[in-house]
This record gives sequence, structure tokens and C-alpha cells, in this order.
Amino acid sequence: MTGDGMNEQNPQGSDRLERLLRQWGAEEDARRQPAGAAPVERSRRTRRMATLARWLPVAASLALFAATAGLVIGFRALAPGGAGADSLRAELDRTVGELNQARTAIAEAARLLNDEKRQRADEVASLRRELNAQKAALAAKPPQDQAALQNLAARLEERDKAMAALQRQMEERAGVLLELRKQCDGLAAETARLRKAEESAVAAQREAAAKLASVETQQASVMAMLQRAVLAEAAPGGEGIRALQKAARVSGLLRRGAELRGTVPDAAVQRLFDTHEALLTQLDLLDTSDRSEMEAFVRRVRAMPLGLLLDEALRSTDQAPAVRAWLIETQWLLAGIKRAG
Amino acid sequence: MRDKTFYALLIATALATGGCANAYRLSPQAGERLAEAIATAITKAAVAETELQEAEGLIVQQRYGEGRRKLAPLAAIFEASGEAGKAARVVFWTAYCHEKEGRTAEAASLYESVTRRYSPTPAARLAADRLARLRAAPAP
Repeated sequence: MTGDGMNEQNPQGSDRLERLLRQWGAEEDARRQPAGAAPVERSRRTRRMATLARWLPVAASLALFAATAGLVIGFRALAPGGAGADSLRAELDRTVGELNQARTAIAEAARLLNDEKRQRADEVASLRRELNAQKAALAAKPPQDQAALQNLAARLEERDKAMAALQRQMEERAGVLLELRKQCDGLAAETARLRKAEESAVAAQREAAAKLASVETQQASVMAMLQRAVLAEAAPGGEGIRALQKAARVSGLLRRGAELRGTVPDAAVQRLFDTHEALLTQLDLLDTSDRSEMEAFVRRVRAMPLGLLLDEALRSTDQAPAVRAWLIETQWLLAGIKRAG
Repeated sequence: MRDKTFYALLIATALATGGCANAYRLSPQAGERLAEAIATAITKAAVAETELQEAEGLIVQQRYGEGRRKLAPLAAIFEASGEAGKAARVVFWTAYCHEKEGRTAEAASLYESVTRRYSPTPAARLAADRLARLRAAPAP
């Protein structure tokens, strides 16, 4: 048997190895295609690589087996055939060469397998990175529930802020309330003080009113005494409005008043003079036989605040004594008319 | 005043019923007209008296212009009803208002009128006093 015979005897193992190697080369070319291939191609390649990984050891074992079988068959052929040692050596060398080639192929296949493993590891790492990227993208783009949760969280945050603001407002209002309470306390104290002052004033007023009543009583008695004295002179035995009318005519009150009025510098006193003059004139013109006319006149005299006006006039110190005397005389006469009604 | 009115109306009614009409030989229609005229005059006088009292109240309050305007129609009414004393008062107070308002010429004229026409009423006496003072006073 020759080396060619060996080749002829082992053609199927070599072809299979060659086919496997071609397949590997094709897959290698496919693997070296640019990154970013479609996921379908990648899965196909992955399947091919899985097939290669499964069958490559088998192919290598078959190649070793074929080489060993060739050697055995060669030695058997040498023994009964009695071929020469050179040819056997040549055959052996060739077989050893083939064996070495097979070993080299196996080593190459192992290297390729390792490369493939490393590439797959790289691929896994790439996929893992991609997965992480997708996870990150998913995390960056939250689903609807997450959006709702975020919305809820935002609303909760807003509510917390509103509660905080409310709390602040409550604290501020509590401060204002405290201030108002202080003011209320102050006002209450002020009210109490004013009430006390008012009570004091009322008491003083009552006291003054009592004194005034006493003074008025005394004044009335003095006035009555004066009237009696004047009437006894002007209208002896007379009383009432008729007697007062006669007394006023006899005493010449109107004439004296007209003479004095020009000497009065104060406008208020002049006005009082005019009032007294008008009333004295009406008294002089009064028809004492007409009851309704007399009643109307008394009502008119009573309606006038003559006492106050006289007090104001007498308070002025620059009035001549004759003016003061005329005012007082007129006053008591009009006071008599008030009482006479 | 109420009593006067009552009696006057009573007299007017008596005249209207014919007794006095026959005495004065008036026809019943003329008697009625006379009674009506008297009653109207008396009613006007009663109203005028109230007006006079109100005017006097205004004068006491030194509201001379208002008082004078209120007095303006009253003298004729009192004249018509035969109440010379009231008419004299009205003219006197009118003069008084003019005097207080500074119109002494008008005041003097009216005072003189009162003294001339209504003497010897109290108003005429007072008007004479005031007129004398006005004439004695130096011209403003």
C-alpha cells in the first residue's frame, strides 16, 4: 500500500474535515460582518456557532481516528505484503505528516473554538451591556404606573408644601391673634378705666346737678322776692302777666334797653338785647284779655334758652354795670312770665 | 280767639236764620250772603291771628325777613275784620323788621303810619317811641 493508497483509503475523513473547515470559514466570514447586524442574523449565526461547537470535537476525533486507522492498515499491509522499509518509512512519514496536519488542524480548531468562545463571551457581554442600556432606557422612560406614581409623589410634595405654608400661616395668625389678644386686653383695661372715669363724671354731674338745683331754688326765691318788691312798686296788688306788663311799662325797660344797646360792643350780647327787646315789646303789645294770645306768648318765652344766653352774656367782663343790670332785670321779668303761664 | 269765632259764627247764623234780616228789612238771600261774608272774614281773621303769632315768634328768633314776609298780607285781613289793634301790631312789626334789617326809612314811614292811623293803640305808642329814637339817631 502507498501513500496514495492511504489517501484513497481515507478520503471520507479528509473530506469531512475539509467540509467542516469550510463551514467554519464561512461562519467566520459571517461573524466578521459589521456590528449592528439584525437580531435574526445574529441568532442564526449563534445557532451555527453552536453547531460548530458541537461537531468540531467530533470532527477532530474522527480525523484522529482515520489517521490511526490508516496507520494500522498501513502496518498490516506492510506485514503480509513484505514492502520495502523506505516505502514504509515514507508512508509512515506521510502518515505522521498527515497526523501532524490533523493535530495542527485540531489545534487550529481548538484555537478557533477558543476564539469563538471569547467572541461569544464578548457577544454576551455586549448583549448584557445592551440589556443594561435597555434597562436604563426603560428606567429613563417610566411606564404609565410610574408616571402616575410620580404624579402622585408630585401632588404629595405639593400638598406637603401647602401644609407647610398653612403651618406657617397658622403660626403667623397665631402671632396676630396673640397681638390682637394683647390689644383686646389693652382695650378692656382702657374701657374699664373709661368706665370708672364715666362713673366718676356721672357722680360729679349728679352732684353738680344737685348743687344747681339748690342754686336754682335759691335763685327762684330771690327772683320771686325781687318781683314782689318791683311789682309792689310798679303794680301794687297785681300779679300774673298783666302785672308784669304794667311793671315793664312803668320801669321803662324798653326805653332803657334801646338806649343801652348802642353801648354794647359784643355781638352776642347785642343779639341777647334784641331778643329781650322783642319779647318785652310783645309783652307790651299783648292783649291780656285774649287768653290764647297770652298762652302763645308764654310758650314762646318758655321756648327761649334765656338763662343760658344771660349766663353767657354776664360771663363777659367788659359789660357796663347798667347793661348787666338791664339784662338781669329783664331776665327776672321774663322768668316771671314763664312761671305765670 | 276760639270763643270769639264761636260767638261770631253764632251771630252770623242768627242773622242767616232771618230774625235780624227781618229787623233790618233784608231779604233772606241777602241775609245769607251777609252771614257768609261775616263768617269768611272771621275765619280769615282767626288764621291771620295764628300767622301773626308765628311771625312774632320768628322776630324773637331774629329771623326778620321771614317774619316780615309772613306779616305782609295780614294787615288787610285784620282791617277787613275790623280788628284795628291787630292791624296796628302787624304794621308795627313790619316796621320793626325793616329797622332791624337796616332799612330805617321804610321803618320810619311805617312807624309814622301806625302812629297816624292806629292811635291810641299800644302799637301806636311804641311806634311813636321808636320813630322818635330813629329820628334822633345820627344817620348811618
